[in-house]
Amino acid sequence: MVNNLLTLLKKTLKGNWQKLALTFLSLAVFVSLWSLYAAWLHGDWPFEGGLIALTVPYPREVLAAFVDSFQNADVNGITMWGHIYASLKRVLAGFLLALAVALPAGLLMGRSSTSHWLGRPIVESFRPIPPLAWIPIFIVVFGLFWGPVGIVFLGIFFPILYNVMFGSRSVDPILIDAARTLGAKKSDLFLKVVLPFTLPYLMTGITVGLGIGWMCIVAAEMLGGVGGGVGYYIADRAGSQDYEYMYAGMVVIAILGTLTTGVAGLLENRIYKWMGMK
Amino acid sequence: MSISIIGLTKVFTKDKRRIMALEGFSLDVPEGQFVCLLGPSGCGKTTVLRIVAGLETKTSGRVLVNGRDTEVSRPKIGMVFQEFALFPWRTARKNVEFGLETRRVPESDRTLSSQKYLEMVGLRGFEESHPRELSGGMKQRVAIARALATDPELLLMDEPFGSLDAQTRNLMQRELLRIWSATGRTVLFVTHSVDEAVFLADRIVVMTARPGKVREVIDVNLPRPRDRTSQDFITVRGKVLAELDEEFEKARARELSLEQINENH
Repeated sequence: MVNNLLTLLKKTLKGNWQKLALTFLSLAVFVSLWSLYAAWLHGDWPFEGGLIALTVPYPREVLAAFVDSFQNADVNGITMWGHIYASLKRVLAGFLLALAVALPAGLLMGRSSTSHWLGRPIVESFRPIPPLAWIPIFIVVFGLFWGPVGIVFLGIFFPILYNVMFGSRSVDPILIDAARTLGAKKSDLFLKVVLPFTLPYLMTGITVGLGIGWMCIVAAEMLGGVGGGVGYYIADRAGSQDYEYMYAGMVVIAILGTLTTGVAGLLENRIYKWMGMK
Repeated sequence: MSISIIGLTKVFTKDKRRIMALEGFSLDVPEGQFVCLLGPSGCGKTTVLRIVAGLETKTSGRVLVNGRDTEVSRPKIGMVFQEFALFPWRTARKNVEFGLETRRVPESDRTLSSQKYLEMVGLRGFEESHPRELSGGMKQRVAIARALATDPELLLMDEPFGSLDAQTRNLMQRELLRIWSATGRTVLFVTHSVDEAVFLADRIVVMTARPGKVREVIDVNLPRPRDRTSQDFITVRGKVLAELDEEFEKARARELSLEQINENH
């Protein structure tokens, strides 16, 4: 698995060095502008004697805090690894729950018009409510673990439901006809035609959903106040004005989110290839 | 297998309007014959095929395959569609094996069958290709192999070469005749090309404009392989074309009169 990923990485780098150079350039420009802004706020060279504000630390300070947060425990006695573990557990639990409910519900609502019109009103009334609006009550009702899990669930549920519903509804009728002339019964139609046809749509729903899931977990853990997790860590460090540590927590979230959607995207690609559709 | 279609009638309801697609369509096809259904578009020729295939219900009439009513015992049929209708996520081999999987044929037998039929349609070496890697003609070869692999009593083809370019189309017509003579299946073939019908068929059934029924059955007694430029071919072609043109004019006149009604409203 690791070897596979490494060879994949090597292959990607080989043909794309120009894109890679541009990526580094873009990041370098960003870090330089950030340093300059921090210098201005700190009243350092070349802005000597200017404003004095410490809310924006230098990139190197954030980097140092980032490294330190993994090596040494914080005031709660937890390292960044511990916070990541706590957040990951919640995201994973929320994701699995969302998948377990949204996949069958999406298939039902996509393929049966009775289910569609039974489910649609409920889905449509809940969809406009941002998952974050549920945080206060979910924390009270479900507690510090299942509360945030519930928020992640809501964030991931709708993208999966909608993609699966749309995908299973758009199965080309000619494929159903062809399968029927080849002796397919209802179960065959479902397992051998509808389900494979819907798989790429499901993967899109998962990729989109996981991106939203990470946003949800940070907010839910922040408002939770206690209970650990990277979101909690960010809020806690902001409270104690350890801004370089707060930013380090945000960097961790950025990395985790990118990794998750990246892996989901790779998987999506793999499935497309494996299905011969790319 | 022989087919008898007796007084087939089909009424569609669309926007609260009843449209009679077929009215008393009757046809007898003896075993092993290659029959082309020919008619102006919208005459219900595809509907006949879909009813025989069990994809569409009929309003009245009977369809007998080997004397048995298809409503009582479903005949094993193989159908080929204009749009190929291949499963894009399955390789050529797995597409061909679909009908064997649904009939719970063991894997080793499935592999033997798919091998045999892919070879028959000239696709040896493409077993593991996905449809998107194949040309239009090759896709339709896979579809024909898939339809044959279940050992159907009857092969139904709905304008199978309609979306192919002219060269590929001619090639596929010759290939189909080769496969047909190797397997000896009864074929019901829908087309709107007179040339195609005269090249392929033992008998051509010219249908009337809607509501569709049989206008004329023309036997094509030309030896195969047929030469499209021979005098006999051109004579038969002219005869079929004359029949079809009249129906085409009728269909057109009705369309025009409908437009007139719409304008007056």
